Formats: sequence, C-alpha cells, structure tokens
Amino acid sequence: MGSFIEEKLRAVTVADRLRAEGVSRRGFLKFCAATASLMALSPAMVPTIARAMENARRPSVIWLSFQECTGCTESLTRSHSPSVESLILEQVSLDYHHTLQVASGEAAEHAREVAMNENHGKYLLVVDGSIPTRDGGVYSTIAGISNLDMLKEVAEGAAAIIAVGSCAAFGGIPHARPNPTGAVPVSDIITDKPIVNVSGCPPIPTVITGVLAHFLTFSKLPDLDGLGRPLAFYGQSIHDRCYRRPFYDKGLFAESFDDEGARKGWCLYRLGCKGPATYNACATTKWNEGTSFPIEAGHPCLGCSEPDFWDMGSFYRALSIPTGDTTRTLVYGIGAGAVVGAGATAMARSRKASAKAAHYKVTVDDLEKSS
Amino acid sequence: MMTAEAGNPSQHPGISLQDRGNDLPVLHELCHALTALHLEGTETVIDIKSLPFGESDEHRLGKALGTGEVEAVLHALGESRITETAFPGIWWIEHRNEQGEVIAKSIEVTRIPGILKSQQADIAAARRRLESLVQLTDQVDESTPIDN
Repeated sequence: MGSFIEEKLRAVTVADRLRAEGVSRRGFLKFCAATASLMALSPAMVPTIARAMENARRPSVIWLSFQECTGCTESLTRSHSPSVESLILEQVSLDYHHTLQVASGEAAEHAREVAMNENHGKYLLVVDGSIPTRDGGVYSTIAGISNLDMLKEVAEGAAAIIAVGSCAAFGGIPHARPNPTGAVPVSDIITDKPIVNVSGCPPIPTVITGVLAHFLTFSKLPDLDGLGRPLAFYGQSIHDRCYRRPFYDKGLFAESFDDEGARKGWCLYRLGCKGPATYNACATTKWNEGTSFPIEAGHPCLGCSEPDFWDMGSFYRALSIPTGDTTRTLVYGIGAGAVVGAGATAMARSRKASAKAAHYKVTVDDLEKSS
Repeated sequence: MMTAEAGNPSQHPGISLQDRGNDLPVLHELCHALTALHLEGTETVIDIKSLPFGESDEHRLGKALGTGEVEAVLHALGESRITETAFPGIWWIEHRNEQGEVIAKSIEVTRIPGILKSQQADIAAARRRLESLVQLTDQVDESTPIDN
C-alpha cells in the first residue's frame, strides 16, 4: 500500500506517471511504439523513446489564443482522443488555456504568471491565432493586454514556441486582403526563439500531438522545412501522396461537380485542386482518425496549410502552373487556359447544356460567376 | 451511393488499385530480413502503418504471409494482437487503443517479439504483490485455530 502512494509521489517523469496510473511496462512499450508511428519515426527508435520518457519531466505548457476562431483547439480536442494521444496530452502540464482551463478572469491570469515564473526558460509556448499590429494592436486584447504585448512577454521565458494553425504560422484568415487589423504570424514578432509552424486550417490533430510527443521525447523541436513546418508531416505535397494520382497521370479529370468523372473519383485538378502546391499529411494521415480527407470526399484541396491560401485566387480555378512532367504542360495549358481564354463563353454554354442534361445542380461556371 | 463509387477508381477500365503493388517491395525486404535472422540473429521491424499502402496492398501482404501456429492477445491500453505468420520468424503486430482504433501496425522479424516477454519492471512489481499476498495468507493461517 505504502509503495503505491510512494510511486505516485515520485511520479515526476513521464514513465513514472504512466506506471502510477496503472499502465504496465507492456502498455508503456505499446505507448512508445504508437508514439514512434505518430512521429513517423522508425520502430528502431522505440527503445530511445522509452528511455527518453523515463527521463523526461512533464513540461509546462502555456497556450495563448489570439486572433483565432478556436478551430485549432476544436480539432485537437474533438479527435476521439485515442489513448496514445490523450496520454501524450496528459504528460504535459497545461497551465493556461482559454477553452480548457477552469479558472477565469484574474485567477486565470495569475495562474499563467505563476507557471511562467516557476518554469522560466523551460516552458513550451503554444500559440493559435494571428497577432494584430495596427493601431498598437488594440484589435485583440486579453485582460486589457494586447496580444502583441502578451506574446512578447510570454515568449521571453519560453524554451520554444509552437505556432498552431495557419493563422499563427502565416497570418491566416485575418491576414487575407485587405488585412484590416494588420494581422501577422508569430514568426514576424518573435525572432530569437525556436518556432515550429504547425500550419493547416485547422491542422490535423495527430500532427499537433506528434510535435508535442517529439518535444517530450527529445526535448527539442523536430526537423523543419523552409517554412518552419515539421518535415515528418509537411515534407511531401498532397499531390505526391494522393490516391487519385493515377488519374492525374492519365489525364482523367472531373470537369464539374457531380459529372461522370467526379462520380468515378477522377482527379480534381481542373476543379481547382491546390494539391500540387500544398504540403500537409492529409493524403496519408487523413482526418477523423484516418477516415477521409477533402479530395477523397470529392472536394478539391484548398491549400489551407500554405501561406496566403485565401488570396491564391478562386478555390475552384485550376492552378495555372502545373507541376511535374513538363511534356504534359501543353495539354494542361490548354485545359486551364481554356477556362479563362476566348473560348470560355462558348465552352461554358456547352458545358452548361450538357450539365443540365446530366442532371446536376451546380457547375463550375456558376461558382465562378458568383466568386 | 456516390461516395462508394467515387472512392473506387478500380471501376475504370485500365486503372486498378492492383497497379500500385506496394506490397511486393515489403515481401522482398522480408526475404532479406528472414535470412539475416536465420544466419546472424539480426532482428528487423517494419512499420506498416507508415507505409503508403492502398487497402489492397495491405490485404495482399496479409494474405501472402497468412497465419501460423501462434496467436497472442495483449490486454494493455486496449487490445493488441501478436500473430506469428505462416512463416516462422515473421510476426504481425497490431496495436489497438481502448476505442478499438489501430494505433500501430508492424511486422517483426524475430524469434519472439519483445512485447510478449514479461517485462522486468512488471516482474519487480509482481514480486512485491506476491510477497504481500503470501504474508497475508500466512497471517490468516496463524489466526485460524488448529482443530486437531
């Protein structure tokens, strides 16, 4: 009996805590195997992860929500919390989070200050939402403090910063033209701390926990691409992992929503798919515990993990510069160019006529007219 | 239903998921791994969940490897199945969480997957528990009057 209580009191490392919660060593190894898979690491890394978890102390995490829609938090908490992810999340001490914390008002701000002081230099700062800078940053404030001031203050004692979502990573929706609040990403304000950009609108939940797991295991951030995104999840384009790629390669495209090609699951490039220019894990990791992703559901990729995706032209206009094999450029040039070229009206009319004959409600033309 | 049709490219003549064939390279890798195990005792682990498999790739791989003499179920943080395939030395491991979702899937080329062995930390805890149990039993015996 006494040893059980002693175990709980001594549970300062991640492994200790799991054992104190009744997780056997086998359960712990299962946890480490799933963590390795989550972080896209080789199974050979499992012993390393196990050792790291045995030595890792629970990091303090302060989550600041700025000019955001809370979609990133929703993505993280709405995932059905498979044991591994919730175990990972339980290994961090979440000391401040608007949506998840019980405290409010001054008590909440006090909790944040205590966490910052007690863990100075060691806490993880997570940010979602962009930071407005126009007019001294008055357009978003918490407890009377502008997001701009709060970010600078909290970043000062942070070990590293995770910018969750396209708003924190690149400015996101508030940053879209004409950007009335002067919204900027975290990396525009903080330049002297390591920052990971976990972009996406919202990001895939396992990507968020994967980055946390990496930090827990190695006490440092994962390898990043040129835009500061973890290579493990953003290293390949949607196009390169899309299951509809064989259709793209054979030139089989859906021409409008619900036409024959669309129903056969053909490539959505001509319907505006931004897959070739978008880097994310949607095509492999997918959404809702691996259920599906936009392209699989029949909708072209919006490119939501890229900077300025809102200002890339219509979501339903094909990318003007095709990637890949340049011998195909001429064919695609004709395909894409015809949409905006001189024959557009005639083509549109004939497509509309055949669309009517095929009994579907909305055509690309209708969408283009209204956009 | 539209989704079912749209999601099945194999309906188009000339295009089938069979064209992907990502299972064959893994089978080749397993040949090499099994040889290394047999001749050198080297173990290999392949993370199946992280490979760019289509559904039929994994299905074909599973069918090719089949099931052998041993099927073990592990109850820890949900259910896991550890099965020796029809090729001794090649084990298929599937970890599920408490909601039944697959959280890890791998093929291990080994004489016995590490997770099946009783773990030292668990044995240490078991010793403590067994010792308390034995002490309790002793106490009960001491307090029971001896009839004859």
